[in-house]
Amino acid sequence: MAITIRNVSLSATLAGEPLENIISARGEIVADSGWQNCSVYVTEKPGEAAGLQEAPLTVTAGAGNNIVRFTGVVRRYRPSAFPKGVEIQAQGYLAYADEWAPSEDIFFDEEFPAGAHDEAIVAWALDHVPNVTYNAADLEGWGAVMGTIAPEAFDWKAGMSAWSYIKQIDRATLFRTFQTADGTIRRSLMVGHPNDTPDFTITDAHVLDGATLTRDTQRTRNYAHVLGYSFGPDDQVEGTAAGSNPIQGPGDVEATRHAEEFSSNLIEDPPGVDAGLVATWVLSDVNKQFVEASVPTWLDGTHEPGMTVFLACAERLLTNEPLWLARYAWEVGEDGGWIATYGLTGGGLAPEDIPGGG
Amino acid sequence: MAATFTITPNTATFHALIQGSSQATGDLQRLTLAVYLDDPLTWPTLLPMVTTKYHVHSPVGADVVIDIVRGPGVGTLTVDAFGTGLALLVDLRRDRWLPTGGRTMGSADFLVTSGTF
Repeated sequence: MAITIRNVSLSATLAGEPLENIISARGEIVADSGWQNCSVYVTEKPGEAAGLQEAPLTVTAGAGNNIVRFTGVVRRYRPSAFPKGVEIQAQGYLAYADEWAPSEDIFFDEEFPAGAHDEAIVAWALDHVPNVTYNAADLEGWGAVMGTIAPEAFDWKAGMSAWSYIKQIDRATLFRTFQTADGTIRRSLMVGHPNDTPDFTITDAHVLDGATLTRDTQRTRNYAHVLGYSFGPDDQVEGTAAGSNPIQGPGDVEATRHAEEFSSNLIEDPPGVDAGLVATWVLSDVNKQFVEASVPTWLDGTHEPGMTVFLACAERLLTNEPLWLARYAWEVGEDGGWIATYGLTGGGLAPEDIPGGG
Repeated sequence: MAATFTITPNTATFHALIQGSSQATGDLQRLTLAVYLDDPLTWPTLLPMVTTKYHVHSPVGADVVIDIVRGPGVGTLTVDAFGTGLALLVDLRRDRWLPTGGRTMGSADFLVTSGTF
C-alpha cells in the first residue's frame, strides 16, 4: 500500500496583515455566477468591531501546492457567540459589477458609432465599475461587430447593473465572463462538450465519498431555433440549425424535430452576431447527452473554470470522457484536511462509446 | 520491550508493554501501545511529536492520502522484537504515576503508514 502523506497549509492576509487564529476556509469559483466566494473561519475578529469592511483578503492554501486560492474583498462578518468564532465572507472584485449601475441611460451609438466587438463591449462595461481591473487580453470574444444594425438594443438603461449588462452580451454570444482565484477576469466560450486536449485527468484514485454524475437525454434536442432583434411584427432576425441523434432522429424533418428555442435581442445579422451561427452553437449545446458531475477529490491542483477535465471513472461514474470544469470548490480545515470538489459539465459521446451505455 | 520513536532530530525512548497493547486494522493500521516511561524527560520529548489534527482520505479506487493539519507528521517507530516502520503518533496519554524517579505509565496511539508491524 503506497500511502501519500501531505502537509496542509492555510494562511491569509487581511488588509495586508497576516490573519491569525484561522480555523478553516473554503472557497468556490463558478463560471456561471461570475466571481469567487470565500469564507475564512477565525476564532475572533481582527481589528475594531465595525472596521475592516471591504478590506482586501488573500487566502493561500493547499496540501503541498500552496498557492493563492482567493483574492478579493471582505463583504460580511458573521460572528457566532458560542463557540466563539467569526466567519469572514469575501467576494472577488467582479462582484462590484453587480452593484454599479448608470444613473442615466447610456446610448450605445454615441459610445460606439461604428459598433464594437463583444469583448470590447464587456471591457467598456467593466471600465465603469470602480475597483475592477482586467487585462483585455484575457477577454475572449466572438469577433463580430455588434450594434451596427440595431444599436438601440445595446443601450444601457439607467438602473441596470454592469453585471446584468455584461450577462446580456454574454448570453447573445454564448460566452461567460468570470473571475479566477488570483483575481483575473476572464471571458471564455463554454458550450457543447470539450474536444480539446484535457488539462488534467481525474481517476478513481482521486475520487472521494459523495461523487455523483448524471447523464440525461431529457434536455436533448436535435434542432435549434434562434430569434434575434425584432424590427417589427413580421421582421425579426432568425436562425436555425438542424442536427440528428440516435434517440430523436433528424431535426430537419418536421415529424422528428425537437426544437430548442433561444432568443436575444442583441443578435443581429452580420456584421453583428449571426443568428445562424448562434443556432449552430446552441445546437451543439443541446444535441448531446447532458452530463453533469460533482466530484470531490483530494487533489490540490491549480485549476479554474474553463479547463477541460478528462474524467476517467468508467467503473464507478460510468464515464470516460472530457468535460468542462464549470465549478471549482475547495475547503481546508482541521477536520477534513484538503478537499477540492469539481463541478463538471459536457456530454456528447455516442451511446456506444459510453461505458454501460449503447 | 524497548521502543523508540524518532522524528529527526528528536528521539524518544520508552518501553512498550505487551499487556494493554493492541493492534487494529483499518484504512491504516492502528497500533495502541501501553507504555512505561522510566525517564521523566521522555514525556516532554514525546509531546511535540504528537500529530493532533489530521485527516485520512480514502479514495474509492486507490490507497489512502493523509493530510497533516497540525503536528509534525510521520516518524520512525521501532519496537524491539516486534517491528519497525513509519507511523503517526496521534494520541498520547498517561494515567499512572509510579512512586519514585518520575516514572509514569500510559498509552500511545500510532497510525502505521508502512513497516513490519
